[in-house]
Amino acid sequence: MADSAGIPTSVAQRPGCLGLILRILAVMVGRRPPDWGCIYVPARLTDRPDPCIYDQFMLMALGLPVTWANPDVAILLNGVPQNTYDLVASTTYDVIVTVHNSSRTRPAPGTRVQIWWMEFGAGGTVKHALGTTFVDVPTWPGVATAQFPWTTPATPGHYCLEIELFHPDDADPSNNRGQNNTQVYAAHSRVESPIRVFNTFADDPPVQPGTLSPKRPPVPVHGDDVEITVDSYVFADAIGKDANPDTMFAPRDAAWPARVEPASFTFQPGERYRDVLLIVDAPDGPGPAETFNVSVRQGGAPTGGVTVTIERR
Amino acid sequence: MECSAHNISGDQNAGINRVAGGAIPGAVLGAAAGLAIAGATANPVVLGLGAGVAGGAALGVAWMQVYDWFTRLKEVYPDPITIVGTPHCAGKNHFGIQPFTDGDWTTNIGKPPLKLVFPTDLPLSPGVTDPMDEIRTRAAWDSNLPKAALSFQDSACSPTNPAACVTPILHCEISSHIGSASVVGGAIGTTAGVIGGCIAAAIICAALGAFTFGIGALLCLLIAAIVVAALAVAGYFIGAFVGSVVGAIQDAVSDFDKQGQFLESHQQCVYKVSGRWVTDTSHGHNEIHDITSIVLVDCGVGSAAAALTLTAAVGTGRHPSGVDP
Repeated sequence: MADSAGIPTSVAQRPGCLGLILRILAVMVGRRPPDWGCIYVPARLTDRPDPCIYDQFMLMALGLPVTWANPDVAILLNGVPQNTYDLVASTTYDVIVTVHNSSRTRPAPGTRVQIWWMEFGAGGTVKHALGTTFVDVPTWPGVATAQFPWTTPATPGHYCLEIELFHPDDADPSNNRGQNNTQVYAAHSRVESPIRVFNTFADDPPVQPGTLSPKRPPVPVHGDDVEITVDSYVFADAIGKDANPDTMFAPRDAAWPARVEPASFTFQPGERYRDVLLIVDAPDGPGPAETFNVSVRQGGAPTGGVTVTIERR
Repeated sequence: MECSAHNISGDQNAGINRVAGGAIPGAVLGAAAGLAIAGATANPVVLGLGAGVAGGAALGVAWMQVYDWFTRLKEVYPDPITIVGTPHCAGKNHFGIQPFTDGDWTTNIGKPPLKLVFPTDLPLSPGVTDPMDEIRTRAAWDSNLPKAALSFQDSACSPTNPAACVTPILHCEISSHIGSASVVGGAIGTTAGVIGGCIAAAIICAALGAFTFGIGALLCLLIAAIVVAALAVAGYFIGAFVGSVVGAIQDAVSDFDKQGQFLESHQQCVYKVSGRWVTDTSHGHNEIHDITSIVLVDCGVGSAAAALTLTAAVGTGRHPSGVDP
């Protein structure tokens, strides 16, 4: 909180000598039951900026559905939105990242926005830096946009994007990482979309048995078990009075018969990735498109995903 | 109802037991030192023995408490963690001296929803499927505990009454300066008390030297031990109290009680709480200590589902209408 001059009230309201003595007495003899229903938390813990982005990993940690068509990321070619899967080699695109600030009292000046491209798939770990910039994010509901010109590699390929925010005084580190992985298919009666699932934790050091004291439990390592889900959740982006969290994050089953084969498996030692197949039985004939979010967990941890749009023409 | 954690297993008094364990080695070392000093200063051996045992035991306990206090929190993970949940209580421990109180600000974060949201890729121990269970049970590698005890809000919950443990929580604290200043002040006071006790005992024993040798020696031994112990205890309480006052002043001049924000435990408020994930070896459970940031998601949250979706909306910068955070 700040006064009219913009000075934090915690600084502006320093006590005089009498006030300080009363404050000391309050700490020492103030009547405070052990559970008095609330505690007064200092501003240094509560009054901080919170730059944020649509973070699929936080949302999956909450057990909520996600889309990998990140609403805060846009890839434009001459102003026309593009899908990450279909980008053309040696072509310059504009990547636009919208950065929010969840704090209503503190702006987030100098928020660092870093962006990488990765091979298309879920759970990729080999990142190629695309750019870094800094933006001044106003308090909620203001937003800032970061723009990155990106010339795709000369070698044809399929890509996905990852964005990460950083602010030294960030109140919440859980909402700073978002991905954008989208793909579009024209519908046939049966659509089969190969998706590469990377072994995110392939480089984890193994536990060395016998090096730990019997009293000291081994440090857990990430599991190799992979679980893949598919749904047709759509994020209805809204803010303020237009936002209804219950509908924004309401799960939605796959719109058409859809499955991933295999839907679960275990990475073998040394295995870097495995290709799975999204199979959708699309209705025949023209009609509205549907999206299918393929989300991956490895060892229980969310590692990535892909959103596939199937168009009926 | 106190705002403390109640554990389903483990030893809630592990810290006190460790501190008490300083008495015997302290007494042995004190006896040896007392005998050596008595010999070097031509004082009666019984004076050195009595004062040494009592003073050594007191110093062993007091300084063991200092060591234990500053090493009791063992870091489980190098980076801060962030959980989201509802405070089931919130309060401040009373002003006073260690080991009775520490003046810390405390809250128990529980459902709804009680979820770990950062880091999202925390490796889980075998058999664990909920990351919050990992947060609550993985013991710090240097805690010498195989697992941390699960803690609950229910005051009747204890290792002898596990059926009463029904409301899972993670205890979270903001340190007051009172606890640290109190243990240091207590140790300094104890040291001063032992020194003063030794001087007083020497004077008394010198006076007792006029009596019959055997009775005088026995009296000297007992009086030295009693005087040194009494002054050490008095020194501890005086030093700990002075330390606590210093800690209270530090609290008062630091940013507590300034313009911050209330953390409510009876308004169905959901918070994101970030901080250092530690095993508190004094109680055998895991907690966040110190809290590094608190973000209010919203208040008046009625259901577990609403707690999740509100957290998601606020966390992605899409605040819905409602109570103004």
